[in-house]
Amino acid sequence: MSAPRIVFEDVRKTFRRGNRSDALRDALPRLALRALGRGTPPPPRFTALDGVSFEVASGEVVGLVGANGAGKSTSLRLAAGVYRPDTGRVRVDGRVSALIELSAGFHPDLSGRENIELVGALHGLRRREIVASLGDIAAFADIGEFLDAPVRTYSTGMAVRLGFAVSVNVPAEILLVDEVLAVGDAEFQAKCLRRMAERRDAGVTILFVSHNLQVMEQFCDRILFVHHGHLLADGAPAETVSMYRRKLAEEAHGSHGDGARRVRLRRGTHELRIEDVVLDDGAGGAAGVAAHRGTLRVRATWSTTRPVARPRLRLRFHTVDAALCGAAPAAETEVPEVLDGSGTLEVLVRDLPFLAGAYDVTIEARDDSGLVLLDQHDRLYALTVVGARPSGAEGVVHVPAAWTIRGAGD
Amino acid sequence: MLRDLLAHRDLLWLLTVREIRVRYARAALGVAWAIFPPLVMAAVFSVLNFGRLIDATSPFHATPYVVFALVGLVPWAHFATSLQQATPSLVLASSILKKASFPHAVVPLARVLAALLDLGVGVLVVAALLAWNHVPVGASLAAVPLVFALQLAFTAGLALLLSAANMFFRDVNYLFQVAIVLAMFATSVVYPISPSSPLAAEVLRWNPMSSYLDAYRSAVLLRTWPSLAALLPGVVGAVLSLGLGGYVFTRSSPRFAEEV
Repeated sequence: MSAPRIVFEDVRKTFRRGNRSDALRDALPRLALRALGRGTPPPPRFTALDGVSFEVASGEVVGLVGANGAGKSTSLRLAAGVYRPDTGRVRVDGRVSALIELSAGFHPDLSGRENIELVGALHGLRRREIVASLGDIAAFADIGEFLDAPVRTYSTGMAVRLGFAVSVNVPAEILLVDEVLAVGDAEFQAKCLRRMAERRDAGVTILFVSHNLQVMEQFCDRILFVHHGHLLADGAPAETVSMYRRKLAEEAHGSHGDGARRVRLRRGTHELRIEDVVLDDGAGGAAGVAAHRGTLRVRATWSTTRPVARPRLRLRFHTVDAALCGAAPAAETEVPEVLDGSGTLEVLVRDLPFLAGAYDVTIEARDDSGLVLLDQHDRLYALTVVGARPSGAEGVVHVPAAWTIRGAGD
Repeated sequence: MLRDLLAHRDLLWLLTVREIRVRYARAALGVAWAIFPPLVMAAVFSVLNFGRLIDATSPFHATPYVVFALVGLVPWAHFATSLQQATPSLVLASSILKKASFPHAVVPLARVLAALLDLGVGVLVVAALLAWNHVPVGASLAAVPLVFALQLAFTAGLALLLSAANMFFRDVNYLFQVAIVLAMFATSVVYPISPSSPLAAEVLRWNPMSSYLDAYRSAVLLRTWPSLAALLPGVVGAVLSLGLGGYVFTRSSPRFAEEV
């Protein structure tokens, strides 16, 4: 890796909170009062980023993840030079092409061509450079004969395509992209990613924001996780993403083992109650941890307030962002005719199929019709699957496969 | 700031062209609109017989009033239009302010440059009027572009100052609308300034715009080079305006993106 392209050094950025006075009419009396020592102090500012330091090396692709309002877009704008840090330093070495706020900055009355020229010029390009890339841009945006029509006649999709096309096709050493994968159809998204990959292969340094974690994991060399204005993690994609997923889950329902969380996520008539749920590997390992391809054991106690006939019991596995990965229902033959009083239950999952990562587990009991929820612990139990991820593995399960490829003459 | 501006001269040019196109593209009369306001004003002031304010002692007593008025109104219109367009320009450009890092001064300055088209049309009309009325002109016409350079500097400085101020206090735009009307009456646009008190005379003597307009009139209508003494308020005004406007703008522009 060569010299860093983007350097953030202990960057702090604050903003005035909303509801500010926007008129001299209000500001002058306030300033006068303050000068007399009678004024109220200015309201505290909102801290968008605090103590953030990182570097992006030349040719590196770095992703930014974090919840809405965590400071991702502020970071991009600082890197783009749109904002200046309150304290700390932001150093950017090279020409920047920034796609911040899709299609913003287009003038509706001007044609696509004129807008391309304008946005290019905003990025400090000379007119001949813009004219040289005009063809590429129009082809990429696929706007055809609309190139010379006013942008107000464009569909939303066309405007978005044009916005992205300009950013990725103007010559630049650094590309900043804000959440482009949230818009457009799947085909366009694939096209965007392909073009970003081409730019990456051409040595362009990329800093980008997306909520599509799967894509981020595949595409980035490194991922930064910003959380409430702080940089919580800066590391390998898989690890940072799973940390982010874990954090998302915690934010969604309090931290694991927290009483409030249990109450909130527990539903049902409670004629049958499941309690004391413990997950382990059945071999004395730590609670909540099991190995990929190893054993997962779930133990619990149960009690009833009235006899319950043939309840339907089930475990579910979710990613920390709540996508269902699989379920393990109890077979009819495994459940007694009637549950009455109290007892214990144990589930053994052998050859756990999930890849290393963080998961949430649900356990639930329904009546024999399957319609009445007796007790459900919705994603209450954290499960960390350990073990090496097989090379090239993606998603949540390992797919064992054997490929055979032959030439035509074989 | 200047080096940055120079590097972005293509942007300044594109914004200026965009400004002109957007303003005239959908108007049936197109650029003909540009001369409309000064012509209407000249007509109104003629009908109201403002010519009588030019007394017998004035060197312009013999000049047709419409010519006298238009030589003042056309450059005044550039000044007023520039500032009218420039003051809210940064607020209106909020989407591009948040999109990329560029010298923000191009936004108000493009408005000032775009107003040059109106000025050009106005100058043609004035030239036609001079010919029509057989007003003789001389070498002193060469003073006009020099004086206009001063006026442009004065206007650009105010455009920077007002557009920046309007970013932080949105009522600056409304205050400006009132101020420009008052300013017109305090300037020798359609009549020579003849203040009633010596104090007012001393104050109004330092009005840079009067200094430019009087210089144009003497150069065009009297065929005399404007005296340096008469131009002094204009020179001082241009330097102060550009200095103050440039300073305030440069200091405040890093905060623009977060004020919109």
